Amino acid sequence: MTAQAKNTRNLLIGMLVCGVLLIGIFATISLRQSLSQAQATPTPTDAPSGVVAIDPPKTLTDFTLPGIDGKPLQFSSLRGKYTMMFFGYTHCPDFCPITLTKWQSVKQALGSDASSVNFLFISVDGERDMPPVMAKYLSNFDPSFLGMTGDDATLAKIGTDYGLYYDLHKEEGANYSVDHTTQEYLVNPQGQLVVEFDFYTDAGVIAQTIQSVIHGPSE
Amino acid sequence: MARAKIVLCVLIALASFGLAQAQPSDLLIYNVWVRPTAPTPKADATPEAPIPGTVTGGYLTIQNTGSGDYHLVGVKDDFAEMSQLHQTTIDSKGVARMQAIDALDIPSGQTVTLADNGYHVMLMNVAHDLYANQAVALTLTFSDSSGSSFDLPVGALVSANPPPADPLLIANAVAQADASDKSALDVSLILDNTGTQGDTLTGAAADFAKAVALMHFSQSGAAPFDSIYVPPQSETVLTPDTAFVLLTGLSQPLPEAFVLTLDFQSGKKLIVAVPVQKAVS
Repeated sequence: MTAQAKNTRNLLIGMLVCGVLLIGIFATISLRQSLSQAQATPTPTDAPSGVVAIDPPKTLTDFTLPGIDGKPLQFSSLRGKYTMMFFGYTHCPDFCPITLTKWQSVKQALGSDASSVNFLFISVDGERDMPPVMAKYLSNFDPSFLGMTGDDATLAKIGTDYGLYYDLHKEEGANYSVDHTTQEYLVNPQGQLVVEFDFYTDAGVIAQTIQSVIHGPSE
Repeated sequence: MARAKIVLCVLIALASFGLAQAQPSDLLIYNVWVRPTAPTPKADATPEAPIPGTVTGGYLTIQNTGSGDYHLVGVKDDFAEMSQLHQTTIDSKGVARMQAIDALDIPSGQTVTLADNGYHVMLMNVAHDLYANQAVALTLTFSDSSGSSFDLPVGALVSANPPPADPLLIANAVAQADASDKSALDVSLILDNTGTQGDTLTGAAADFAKAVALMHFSQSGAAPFDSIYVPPQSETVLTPDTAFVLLTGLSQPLPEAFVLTLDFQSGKKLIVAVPVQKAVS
C-alpha cells in the first residue's frame, strides 16, 4: 500500500469514526426528547352521511362514448344491471384512485350481488385518457371495471343530469390538473338515477345502500 | 503530514456538518407510501413501459418533536420527471381541486400527515411503473426556522392503500454501507412505540439479502444478538453505533430502496421501505 493510499484510508477511517460518534450523539439526543401527539391532519370527519336518494328516479339521457377497448359503448346497453358511475381522470392522484379503491371494497362487500352491478368510470379528460390509457389505469383496480373516454360535447349533453362540473387547467402545461365533481351515482337497471353518494361515503354504506335498492330495505 | 491533519480536520468538520444535517433528531418520518401505477405483471411477463404522462401520489407522516418549526419544501427522486407538493380540496358542491404548494409547515410539536384528501406528493411522468409491495426512494427537502435547508432520504412502500394503523411506528429507516464490510448494509431506524404494550423485535428479512441479523455494537465491535425489547411509550433508536440490522449476501446491483420485514415476539410483522444511501464519495 502506498503512503498516499494509506493516508486516504486513514482519513476515511477517521471520518467514519467521527461520523458514527456524531450519529450516536444525535440519536441519543433524539431518544431523550419527549413527544407531542398534536395532530394537524386535515380530516373530512365532519362530512354528512352523504347519501341522497333520488325520488322519483331520474331518467338519464342516453349517450355513447369509446369504451376501454376503443369500441363505442352505449350507456343504455348497460341496462339490466345496476351501474355505479364516477366522473374523473387518470392523471388524478387522489380522488379517482380513492374512489376506485373504494369500489373494490364495495364489490367485495356486495358478495353475490356484485354480479348485478356495473362499475363505470367516465373520463372528463378525453384528450389524455384515450382508451388504452383507461384500460391500463382501470386494470390497476379491477379488470371488470368499465371505462369511457369522455368528450366535451357528450359531457355537455349529459352533464346536467348529474350536476357534472369539470375544468381542465391546461394553462398548467402537459401535466395539467382537472377540477371535477366527485359524486358517485347509482343507476337502476332501467337506466334511471336512483342514488347520489358524496365522496366521503364509505364502501360499507355504499354496498348497504345498493343492496337495499336491489332487495328493498331490510327489516 | 501536518497538511494531511488539517485536511482531515476540515473533512471531519464537513462530514459532521453533513451528518448533522442528514440526521436531524427533530423529525420522525413514517408511513411513507406511494400508489401503484399498474398491476404487478405476472412472473414470466416483461414489464411494459409506463404510459407517457403516468402520475401517482405519495403520502407520509412527519412528526416534529423539536422546539423549532420546519417546512417541507421539496421532494426529489430518480423515477419521476417532476415531483411537487400538492394540496387537494373538495368544496361544498363536491368539486375537487388540486394545486401545487411551495411549502408545507411542520410546526414544533405537531404531526402532519400528507394523506388522502389533503396533501400529497405528486409524482409526474414516472420512468417505470410502480408495483404493489415494491419500495422506492424519495428525498425530502426541509427548511428550518433559520432558513437553511437539508435533505432527508425516505423509503416509500408502493401500496394501493395507506399502511394499516399500528401503535408501533417505524420511522427514519435508512440503509448505509457497513463501516467494516462494504458489501453489507447497516439499517438504522427508530421504533416509536406509541402503544401501551411493549414488544420485542426478534428478527428481520429482506428479499435481496441472503442473511439479515440483529447486531449490537460494543467496544469489542459488532456482534449478533437475538432480540431487542421495545418498551411502550418510548422511542428505541437503532443506529450502527448501538444496535442495528445488518444485511449481508446482497443481490447486486443494490436497489434504490427495499422492503424490510420486522418480526416481533407478539407475532406481528411490520414492513418498512428503506432507502439505500449512496456511498459518500
